[in-house]
Amino acid sequence: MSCTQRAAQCMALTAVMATTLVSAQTRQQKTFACGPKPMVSIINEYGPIVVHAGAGNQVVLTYVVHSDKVEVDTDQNGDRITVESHVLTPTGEDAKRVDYELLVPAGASVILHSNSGPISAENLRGEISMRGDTANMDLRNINDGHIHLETLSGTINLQEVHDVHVEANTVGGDILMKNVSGPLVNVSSNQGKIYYDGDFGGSGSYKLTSHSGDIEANIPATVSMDVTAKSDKGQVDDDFPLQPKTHSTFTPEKGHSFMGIAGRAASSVWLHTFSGRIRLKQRK
Amino acid sequence: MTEAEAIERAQKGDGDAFEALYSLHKRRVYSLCLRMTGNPTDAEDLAQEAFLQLFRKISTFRGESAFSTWLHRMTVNVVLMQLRKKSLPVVSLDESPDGDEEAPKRDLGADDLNLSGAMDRVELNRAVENLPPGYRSVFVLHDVEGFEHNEIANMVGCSIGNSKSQLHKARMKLREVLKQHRAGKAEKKQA
Amino acid sequence: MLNCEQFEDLLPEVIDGGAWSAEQRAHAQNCKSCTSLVNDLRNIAQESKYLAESDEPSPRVWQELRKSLVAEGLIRKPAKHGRLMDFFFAPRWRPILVPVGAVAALAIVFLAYQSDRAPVNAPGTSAKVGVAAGDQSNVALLDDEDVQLLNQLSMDSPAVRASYEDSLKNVNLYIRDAKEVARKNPGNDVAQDALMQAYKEKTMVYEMAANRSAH
Repeated sequence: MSCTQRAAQCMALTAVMATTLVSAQTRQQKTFACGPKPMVSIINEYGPIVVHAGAGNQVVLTYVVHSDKVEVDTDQNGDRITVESHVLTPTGEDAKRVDYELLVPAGASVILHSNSGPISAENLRGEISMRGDTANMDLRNINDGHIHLETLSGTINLQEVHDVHVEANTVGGDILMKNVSGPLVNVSSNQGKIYYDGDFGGSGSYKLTSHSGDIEANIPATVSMDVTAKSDKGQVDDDFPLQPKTHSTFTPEKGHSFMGIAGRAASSVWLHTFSGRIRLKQRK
Repeated sequence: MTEAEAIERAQKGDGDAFEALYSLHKRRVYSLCLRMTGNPTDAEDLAQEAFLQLFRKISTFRGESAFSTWLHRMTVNVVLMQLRKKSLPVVSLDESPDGDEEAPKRDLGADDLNLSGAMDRVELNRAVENLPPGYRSVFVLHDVEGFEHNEIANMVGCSIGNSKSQLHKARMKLREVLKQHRAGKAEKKQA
Repeated sequence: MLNCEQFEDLLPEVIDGGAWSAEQRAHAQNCKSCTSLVNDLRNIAQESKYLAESDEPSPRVWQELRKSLVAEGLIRKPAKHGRLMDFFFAPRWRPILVPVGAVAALAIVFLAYQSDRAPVNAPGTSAKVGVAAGDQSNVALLDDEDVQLLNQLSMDSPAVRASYEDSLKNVNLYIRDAKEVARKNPGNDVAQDALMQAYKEKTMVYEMAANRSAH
């Protein structure tokens, strides 16, 4: 074979490989016209989902498919848009991967499922539901509406979430909350840590529970709450000055529970773990 | 079952009891290995080895100290042995302020961004993982795991002064990284 | 009088509880920058304690560890399940096992919760999940429905099965502990609430498994 023929062969092979690589990772974008409060669901077996608030009454879906063994099916019925990753032939995780990015009206409701995650949402006002076996979940600047999060081992991170009904559950992951408030905030982690930094505001009901994970709340001196904390087998540390509560059927047990009020006791706070440690700290 | 029950049953060969003990302590052990090595695969191998060594000796445990303390020390020994085997730096031997690794210097003229108030633990975790290996070991052993400098000096084979110096460098480096992160976030908010 | 650089050079010796000299104290009182530095470094040290258990190893670690323990004869108790279970978990049953399992799990959760609210010594009220009162030492970490669910998930991948197995064991431990507290404190709302939360977690795991199979 001559040098020219060999070079031509190499170039052809390179071109084929490049084409294969390019076609293996395919980026597509689709736009759906909708009203100000559409309902969008994404079911993705493997890969990240990122949702931001966008301009106008439209949903812009951008996705990257990582192999030809998976395709994306979309469907729209009025304001309801469904997106699903459809695995064509049984394959490994990397080949099943689809990366999603979604721009939606701020008032949209979203249902996001990805077994691996991560899943994130920002600057929204509607209903948000996330589910994923090992998916880490990150939500920021969410106002009004309802957040419902479920994961087996992912970490849940909530920042600047206000006037929202929050329900978050993880078995093995941590739950980190910064400036989270609402009429109802119920979070639970079986083994992971629950960390709350905020003011338990909004005259809400807050319930932070775990089986063996530690619970820590870092709160300002101006907090207004009625708090009860209990660890059946673990230790509790109350580093925040509380006023005694006069009418209660709960009997604190030294070292394992405490209760009290701060300010006008506007919010109700319940911290409970079976064997973790509870710590209530005053923010400096 | 309680830990005491699990230990007793594990001493009799009960598989569920071993698993219960593993579940109780796996995060602590793995997190320590991960922080010291910076590599999840190595950390998993070392965590497995630490538990295996512990379980081999469980019949000798009589409850003189807390089980977790025993496991903790064993894990540190396993990790340090591995780091030495691979000739990876455990602690920088240079005691001078300007050691081999770049010592972070404070910009004395600039305003300090106060880090008091809630720290982003995800960011802190990431920053610790990215510390140079020499700083990271002492930082992890002291600030995360709670060992004293004399214990660290014994374990890693350095002087107490060196241990304190490396810890200080690690904290300064973390401070720098966290400040940069916070400044970046503040800029984004203004934009 | 110390300058900032000299102050910082002396910090490692004193910041964690050493004795401050009068010069160091004077500089700290007058220098906002150095005070901020000391606060930041102490804050970092304090927050770092909470990193001690922040990461979780993959299920592979326990799988390999278990193999070693069995190989070295450290695990000596026999396996729990025999050939009868293999018959029921044959491939022809798999398509119906998960939806049936999920419905069964929800029914069990409801029945178990109802029976836990009843007085401990009422006849016929022992929960289906868990054990009779006073027999905590023999509770397995997985019940039959759990094993059934896991076998269905094994069709996905060993890693998925391991992740669910881990979660089921943790929630079962929670249920066990919550039942113990509820049993010792009959009629106590706090104890009942914790038990309900534990069951809710288990329901969540089942629902996630069912949702996985549906897609």
